[in-house]
Amino acid sequence: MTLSKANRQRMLAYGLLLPAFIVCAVFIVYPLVMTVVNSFKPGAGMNLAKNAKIKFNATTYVKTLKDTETWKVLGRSFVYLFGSLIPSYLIGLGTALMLNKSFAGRRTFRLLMILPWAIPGVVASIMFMWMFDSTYGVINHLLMKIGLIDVYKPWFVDRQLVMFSVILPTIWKGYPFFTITLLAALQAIPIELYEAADVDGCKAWSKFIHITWPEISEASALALILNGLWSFRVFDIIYAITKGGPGTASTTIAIKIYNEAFQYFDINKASVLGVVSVVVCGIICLIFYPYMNQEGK
Amino acid sequence: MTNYRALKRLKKVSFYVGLVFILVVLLFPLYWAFQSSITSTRLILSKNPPLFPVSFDFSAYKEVMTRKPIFLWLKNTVFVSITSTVFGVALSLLAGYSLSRFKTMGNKMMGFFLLLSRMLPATLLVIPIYMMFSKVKMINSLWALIMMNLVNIIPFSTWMMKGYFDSIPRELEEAASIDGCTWFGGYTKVVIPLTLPGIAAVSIYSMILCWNEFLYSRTLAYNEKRWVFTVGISSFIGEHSINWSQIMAGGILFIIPLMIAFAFLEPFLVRGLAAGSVKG
Repeated sequence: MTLSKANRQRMLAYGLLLPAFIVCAVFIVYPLVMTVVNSFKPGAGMNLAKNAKIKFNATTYVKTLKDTETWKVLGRSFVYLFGSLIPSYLIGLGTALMLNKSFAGRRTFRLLMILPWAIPGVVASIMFMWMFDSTYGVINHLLMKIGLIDVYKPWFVDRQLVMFSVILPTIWKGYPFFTITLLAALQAIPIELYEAADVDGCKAWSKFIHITWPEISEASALALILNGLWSFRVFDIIYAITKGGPGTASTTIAIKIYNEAFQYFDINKASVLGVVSVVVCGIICLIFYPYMNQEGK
Repeated sequence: MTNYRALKRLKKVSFYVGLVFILVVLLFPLYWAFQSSITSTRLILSKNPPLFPVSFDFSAYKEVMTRKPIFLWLKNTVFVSITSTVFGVALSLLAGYSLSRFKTMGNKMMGFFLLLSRMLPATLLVIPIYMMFSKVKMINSLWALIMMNLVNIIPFSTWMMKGYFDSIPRELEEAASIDGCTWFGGYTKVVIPLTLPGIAAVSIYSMILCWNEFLYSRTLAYNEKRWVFTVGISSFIGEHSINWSQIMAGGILFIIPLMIAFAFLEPFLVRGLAAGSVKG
């Protein structure tokens, strides 16, 4: 059998992709299809054969979208998203600006500053849980010492405080990503721009506004989207310590999906919420994507 | 002129002071975990816990090793991470090359799909995946965890490898083929050796991802003998009285290999993450 060169090339191209494609098809595409299917089957549970007998209808969508709890959970997800995103970004930007200067020991400082990136979310949240412990936590101790609080606060037990408490380890684990991406963007800025500004006698602040910011805004937008999508689906940091509680006070949409499936075994509702969360992610991308491209110009 | 010099010096010193201060704040959680692990429970559970090491008491490390099967968890983690990394890197060496060298419709779609798949919430995928694995009776199997880690690895490692392949000129392969090499010969003898630094970076990155994986491991293995470390350590929470010195000792033991791996990866990271295709 002889094949033309073009055909041989095409076979090679697809042949090389095939193993990765199979893995993705089985473990991403098929589960995704199953989620959509299950979302239209009221009463679907863990049993595949039983689920197959249920007729398709969209009642759970209607019920879930009418339920105020769903909107509360979504609202909480956005509190969590922005509450962790903005501080992470600011810390990332600050550290990136510092690390962009040349000084002795810079490599070591860079390594240490982005270290939290490598720490498992579970370990990070357990460390924070201990630091913020309501009876023996060092943070309570320190805050009391400097007079910021007059009683020890139950950071992870109080419904009002728990969101704040799970956001903190998320910031801690999230900021190094900004440090790394922004540092890369900063290092790509031609030094001549700053030299020219120096000749013109520009102040540091105006250099930042007129040179640095336009050059890093595109990288910032991209990093913000990627990190935002990440916080939207964070599971380990919250689940390892609160499981979404107390009550539902720290239940974001990612946690809610998991609990509906593995605590209440309501696969149908979990799938509906899953589809909703994918749609929300898609909307976030659509809103910010044009903005991102525009920033590039 | 001395005034100017003194001012410059002062600026430099205050820069370092600021840097160290920020570093102390940012790394305090790690410091506190370590400090708690080497301080006796009696001291750590007081209204006035010592902020600096008073004694180097490693008994918590010994206790956690005898009280919990942490070496088994570590062994499982190491097995799962290494196996997934080997398979994941092998697959991405093929797929990344294809994405880099061929621009067929299928290639473009696959590349786009891999990027999109990073956006999907894993808590959504884990439900049907749990059902699939229980159907084929693979719950509590480390191989199920390996497969799911593969799924985590492939999208970013393929894109990272594509980036490395892009930087290798095609002319080298053409020269090899003129010298009589087959495609496979050129690929293994010319292209792969040139991407070794890339392979190293992708491997370490994959290892870190696997080391940190929690969701699939927690869901697909409920037998304590099949736990990986992240699942094991989270089981401390919810016990009646949490022994903080021990849990911190366990955590420190677990992240030491991670920090060493990270020190090797860090120089590559700035380049790899900046490509925008990966997010831990």
